[in-house]
Amino acid sequence: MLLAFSVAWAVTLAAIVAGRLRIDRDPARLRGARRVTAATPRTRRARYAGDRRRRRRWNRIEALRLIAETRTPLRLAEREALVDALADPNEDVRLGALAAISARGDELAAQLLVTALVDWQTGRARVATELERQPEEQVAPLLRALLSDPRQDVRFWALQVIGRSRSSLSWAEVSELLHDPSPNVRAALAEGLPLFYRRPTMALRRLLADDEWFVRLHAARALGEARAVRAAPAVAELLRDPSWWVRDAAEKALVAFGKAGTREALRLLDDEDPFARDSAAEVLQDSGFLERCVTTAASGNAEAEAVLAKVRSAVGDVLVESAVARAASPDQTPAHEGADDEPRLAVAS
Amino acid sequence: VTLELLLRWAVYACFGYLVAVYGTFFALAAVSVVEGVFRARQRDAEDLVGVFDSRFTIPVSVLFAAYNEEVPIVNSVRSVLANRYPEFEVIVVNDGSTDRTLEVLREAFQLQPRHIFFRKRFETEQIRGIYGSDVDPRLIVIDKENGGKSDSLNCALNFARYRYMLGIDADTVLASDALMAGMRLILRDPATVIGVTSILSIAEQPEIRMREPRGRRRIDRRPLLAFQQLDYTRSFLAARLGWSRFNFMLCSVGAFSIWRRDVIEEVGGFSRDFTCEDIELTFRVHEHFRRLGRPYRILSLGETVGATEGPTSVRSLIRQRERWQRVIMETVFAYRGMLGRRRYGTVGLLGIPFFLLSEVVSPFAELLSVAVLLVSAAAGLLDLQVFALTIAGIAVVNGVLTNIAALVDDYTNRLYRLPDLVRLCLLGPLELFLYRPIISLARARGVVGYLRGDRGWNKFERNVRAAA
Repeated sequence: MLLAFSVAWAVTLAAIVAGRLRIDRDPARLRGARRVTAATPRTRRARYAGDRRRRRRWNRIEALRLIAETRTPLRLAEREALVDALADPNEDVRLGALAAISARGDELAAQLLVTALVDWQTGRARVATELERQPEEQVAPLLRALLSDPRQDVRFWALQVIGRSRSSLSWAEVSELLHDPSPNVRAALAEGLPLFYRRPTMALRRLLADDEWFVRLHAARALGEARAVRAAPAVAELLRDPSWWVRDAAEKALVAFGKAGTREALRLLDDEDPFARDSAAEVLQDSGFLERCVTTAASGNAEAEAVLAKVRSAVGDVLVESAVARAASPDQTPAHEGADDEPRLAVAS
Repeated sequence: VTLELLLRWAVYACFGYLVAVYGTFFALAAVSVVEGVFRARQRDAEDLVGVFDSRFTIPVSVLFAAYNEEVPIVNSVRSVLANRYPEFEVIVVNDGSTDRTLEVLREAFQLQPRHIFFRKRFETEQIRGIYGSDVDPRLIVIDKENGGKSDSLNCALNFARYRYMLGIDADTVLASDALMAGMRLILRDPATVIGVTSILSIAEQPEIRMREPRGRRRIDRRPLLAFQQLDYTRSFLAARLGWSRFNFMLCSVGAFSIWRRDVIEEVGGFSRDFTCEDIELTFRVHEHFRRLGRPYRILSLGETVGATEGPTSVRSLIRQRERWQRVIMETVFAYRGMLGRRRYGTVGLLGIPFFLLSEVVSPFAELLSVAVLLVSAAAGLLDLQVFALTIAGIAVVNGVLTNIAALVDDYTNRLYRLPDLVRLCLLGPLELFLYRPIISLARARGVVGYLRGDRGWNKFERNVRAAA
């Protein structure tokens, strides 16, 4: 027994050393794919790529990878192998094929990836990451065609990728999606509107009043990203939203609006809703407005003192005290990149 | 009943235990090899080049609980902020430290006081201050009254904005791809994968170790640290990978554990009723999901995601392991209702019995074997040859398990220098004589501490760094 275990110990140690010292190993080659190499003839490669046995899946993935790398036109068997692999029940094969196909970056890749986006029931986010890398002109027409698909999850993912690939949509398409029965689709629309529609403000304002909280959240966030300052009053209304997440998004958007956001926040400091007051005060803090008030108040400005008093009465002393500490800090830098030119204190009146 | 008969039965009991525990270890090691090789190949096949910069990745809130961590905290936070991952935030909670933890953070990240109105999902100790960083807007530091690690993590959760959270220890230095390594499998199946943990290296100074490139990383020269590395490697790569494959991963380690935030909120956050939070939370999540019959997975991966500080003195090591033993006892006792129940699937039928055998019974079995040895020697009944052969056998068996773990590690990570890896393997058989007695002593003290109701953290002092 002792001898047997000693031999096992020596063998495992030798395996570690041998594993390290193997000089024939090609680091680019997939581990576990012993039968397929770059030197394997194309016909055999295609055969491996179509081998559906589970225990041969690493060889299959390696073969798929080599096929996808082929620069000459693909043979029918090779093309079929790629299509089959994307629909394989084994997730590893599907993802291996996905990565291999994506690396081609051509029209065929765009077609196959869009098909995967439609057909896959799980892992669509992974397909989307690969579609994001494809040339926009190849994927955009295919994705736009999916916007009228009867399946809501297909419409959702198509919109998500369109948003990322920065292709543009027409008003007719946007208008139809605004009334989509799926809140997920409407949320994806809100998220992507500033990216794929030139004048997103009107549509986003409509989405601010959506029944679903996460649609409102994405609409507020998108308006902030688009710096749509004219929507500031509508976004400020969301500081009273029952969802903490929506209030948080509205707050960030108001900070991004700069002066317009500050003005709205000041208006809401004496709101009946305590959450709205808290969020409004936080907007003033994050935009750097409070610190400027502290600095100005120190030089005897009555208007600034009035603002600080208003903040104190709205949310207590804590925010003003933080602002005082920040203003006193020697290495202070601007509080938020979204804050625009210095808001004049006159906005308080 | 003669003394000889009693001793004979005691020896049979010890042998029975040994066979059962090592049999299970080998079975798990075999499964771990399969799982480790599978995950490594899966990672290679997936090719994550496009994912690293994609906005389709899932954002993560990284949570730190820091109590008297002035030495390692800055390096640790920096390593997280340097991660290559599209969207994440870092929330550090200073848990009423009595040292300069807050000051060093303030200096390193130019913290400025600010206020955030947060969602108060969990009651925590009072917050004294909130700070934002001028250097990196993703960092928030919260200063609060001391309330323990669970309290701090709950506090951080109140501020967390993203759907997934990564809890890491303040002495852990992450690799630049750690977040992606952890989130990779979640991205594949976010509906089912609710928790992920992974292996870490042990080092005296993790920040130095992590600077060494892949394939050329050293294992600490100090035997105590090397033995801890060996212990971690074996535990993660020859056992937990197997647990993970059977979906009874019972300990998502505090040094690196990713959880879906809504799951943590659903089970009531981190509990303050236990000595430490990590094992208990993992048990609680299993209990919750199995009881409700909901599909889920908690995974342990073989990828080394960073390095964490190991105690450099025997005394510190004993204090650390004594605490671990206490929390194991507390947790297993609290969740004893799952043991052997079909409703709890592999957790109740395989995981908890294994945990009981290898973690709870072992201090008693070790004590029994030492007692038998001493009494046999005193009574002149000890057959030295048999004894020596048995001990040598156990030592070599430990060595084989170590080698298997090192093999999986090298296949997955290719991290350490070959001479260092070989040294680790050579230390494997010696572990029984040089390291195991320390751990056995710590475990025995842990059992006593548990029986006395001790709930103290007994944190080990951080290793001293050379002046910059």
